Amino acid sequence: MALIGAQKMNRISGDPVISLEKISKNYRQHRAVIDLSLKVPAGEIYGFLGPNGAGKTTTIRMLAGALAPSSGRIFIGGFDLAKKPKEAKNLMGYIPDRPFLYEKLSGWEFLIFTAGLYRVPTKEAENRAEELLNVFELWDWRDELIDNYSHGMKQRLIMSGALLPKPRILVVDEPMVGLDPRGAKLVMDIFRRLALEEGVAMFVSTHTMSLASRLCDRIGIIFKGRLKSEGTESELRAQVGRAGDLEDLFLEMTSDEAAEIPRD
Amino acid sequence: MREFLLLLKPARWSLLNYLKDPGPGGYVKLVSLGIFTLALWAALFLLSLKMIRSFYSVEGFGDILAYKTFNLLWLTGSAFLIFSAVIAALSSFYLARDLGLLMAAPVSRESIFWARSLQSFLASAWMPAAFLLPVFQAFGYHFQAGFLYYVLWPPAALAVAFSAAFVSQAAVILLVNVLPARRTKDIMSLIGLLSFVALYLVFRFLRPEQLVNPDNRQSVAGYLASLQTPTSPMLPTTWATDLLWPLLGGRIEEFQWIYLFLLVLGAVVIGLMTSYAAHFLYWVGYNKSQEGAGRQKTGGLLNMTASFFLLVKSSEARALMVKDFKIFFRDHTQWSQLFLLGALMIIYLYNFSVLNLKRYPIEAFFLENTIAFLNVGLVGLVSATLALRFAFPSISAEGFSYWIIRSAPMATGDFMRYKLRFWLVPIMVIALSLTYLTNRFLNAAPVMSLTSFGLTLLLTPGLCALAVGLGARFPRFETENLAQVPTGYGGLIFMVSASVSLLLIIGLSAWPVVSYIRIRRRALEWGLKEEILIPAMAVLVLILVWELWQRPFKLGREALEVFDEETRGPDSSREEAVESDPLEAKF
Repeated sequence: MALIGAQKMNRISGDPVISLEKISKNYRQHRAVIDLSLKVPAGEIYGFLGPNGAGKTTTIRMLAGALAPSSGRIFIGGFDLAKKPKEAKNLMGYIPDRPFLYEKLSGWEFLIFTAGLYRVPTKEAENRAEELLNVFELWDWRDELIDNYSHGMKQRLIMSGALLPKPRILVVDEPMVGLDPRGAKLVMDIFRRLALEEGVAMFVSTHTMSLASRLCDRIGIIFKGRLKSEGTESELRAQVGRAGDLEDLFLEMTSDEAAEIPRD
Repeated sequence: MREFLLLLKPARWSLLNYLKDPGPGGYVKLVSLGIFTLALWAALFLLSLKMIRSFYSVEGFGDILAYKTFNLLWLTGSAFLIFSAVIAALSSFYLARDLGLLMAAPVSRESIFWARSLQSFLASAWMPAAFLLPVFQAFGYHFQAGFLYYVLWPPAALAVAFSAAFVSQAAVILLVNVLPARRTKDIMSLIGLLSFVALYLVFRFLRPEQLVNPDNRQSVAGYLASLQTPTSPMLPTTWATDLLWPLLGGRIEEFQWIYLFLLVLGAVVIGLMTSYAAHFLYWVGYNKSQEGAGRQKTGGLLNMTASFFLLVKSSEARALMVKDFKIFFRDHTQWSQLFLLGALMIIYLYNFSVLNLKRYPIEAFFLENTIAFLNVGLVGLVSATLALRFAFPSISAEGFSYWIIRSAPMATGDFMRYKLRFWLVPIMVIALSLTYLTNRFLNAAPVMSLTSFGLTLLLTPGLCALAVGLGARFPRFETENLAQVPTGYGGLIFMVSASVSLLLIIGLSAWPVVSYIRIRRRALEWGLKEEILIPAMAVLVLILVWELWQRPFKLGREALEVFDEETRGPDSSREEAVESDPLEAKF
């Protein structure tokens, strides 16, 4: 099944479709994100790791257009998010960590509503909604109010909504929160297929090291608002200068001593 | 006792933290709310004083009317408290988000119950107390009551309030064991609202204005005589009246301490009975309240009606409107307000239908047309009320799901415009219908009808834009009950702005209208002054309406665009500070 439907693209290729240029975010005196720059090309799954309060969700929300950076620029598919927000957001699907939805709509109605926001033609929207509800195993619940959905079902519905307009870029905050092992496997398979077969670029923030290790092509570690390190798992290992799994590397890079070492 | 006090701490600390740092612009809000409250108290005090004095203008009945009103105040306060305490108790005992945490903690359920009981009492009692305080003060002032009246009023009020709240809490404990908690809350809210609407309609249809009509003096005297029958001696409200009334009339010899004893004893007995019910039924009811309401299918009539929106061309606008339409009719806190709206319309039209202008020794043409003109202001006020009820909270209605709009490819201004379009159509239909029907009742001249139609057509979009704009300027996405949004600081600012705008626009339009009536009455010719000034006034009115439309809308859009920026904290504290005042923080 083609979730994105676009022509098959070369894996991880071409110009970056996500580009953050020295973005910073200040909350009054607190500097949540400091001069963050990174690039994600099409077809790549970029894992974004960091301890609590490091600035992960702030970055994700800036990237999704739900929050404006205090300085710096964000480009989505070549569009400046500040200057051309509609064009940029049209290319992107956003999956937040907490499934806040319109509780008095049914799952089906929510997807049709989302299709309306992204100007998907009615017939196509209905086909896509049916396809995605089946993929995410929500078809039997399509006419129920979201109020009655479990946390995991809401999370799967949000994913269906994010995929409905066939985005070229997916921004995902903690994808596995609230999902049971079956749901988590389903989501992981879908993400892999989207990147591999459809060339979707993914920016995934997570605390789950095993997920990052299995799913992501490259990993960025943010600590105290700054991008501490970036690369494939083996590149990170080389940067730290010792063997170990991703969890060991993460702990090493986010210790207080590590905060003193500036990133080159 | 230690547990009970500990369980009260989160609420107390939250309040203290808010007072210490109420956020950007918080102190301005607090001070302006304080000033507004003082002004309201002064107005209530003066109005009550005027009412008491007017009782004594009816010869022979002053005392009985004042006594009955005094008793009625206690009764009304208690009735209001009983209803609001039911809603507060349901939320506090069974639906609050932190209950899961508390129930899992090593504290006794009795402590949890009593802590919640006190919190829900305070949440429901402050409003009747705040409104009735200046009225009872006015009684004290008018009758030059002594020190004892002011000393005994607080314990009497507390005993009455506790009795009423305990009755509600006991009823809630019993009801939740029969019905699901959420359903009980819905039913009770609806019963409360319908009772209010029924009372409102009955009171109006009784035509209380006939009481001051000299033609009806005979029947009024008969009615007043019937008031002399005593009230029920078993009610705490009667004990409170009988405790304090002798202190007002200076009949200290009639004062009896027994009533204070009865009040305190009554509250203690009802409290003990509630405690008994809670001991056996609270935990059972809590468990029942955690069970879901079952699967609930959608579809049918609402979907068919929503297909009306297929006429809307823009796909974004259509999506938003269908969503808002369905959510409105699936949420009882929203659609039930239509009853209130219906009652308001009926009373409004009824008032005009019984208006007998021929009774007054003034030329009918002058009266009919002047009232038809002033009616534009009244219709404007009705539109403002509707805009406050429905259009103002429409931005906050997105709730925590607002992230969906923020991350969608839709400009904030477009989002607000769709909200405006959604509410403008029904409010405009109501405003124009009221204008048309009242003009018919008044037999207004065609030119006056056209003028009032034109002014209504101009004013209504301005008022709706003001509501959406200020709703965006003061969003409350965190609210659980949308009906509370208009009662906040932003709602107050909206009503003040709408009233001032209406006054200005009606004031500016008054001179051309008065000129027209004068010229028609005296069969005069149009002068140069009229030919210059009337278009000038019209231009001024248009400029004002344009400003009313544009400025608050722009202010709201700018505030909404920076909303998250200023109000959401870093990752670790994202739950905090959701009520916004983004512009004040920014500038």
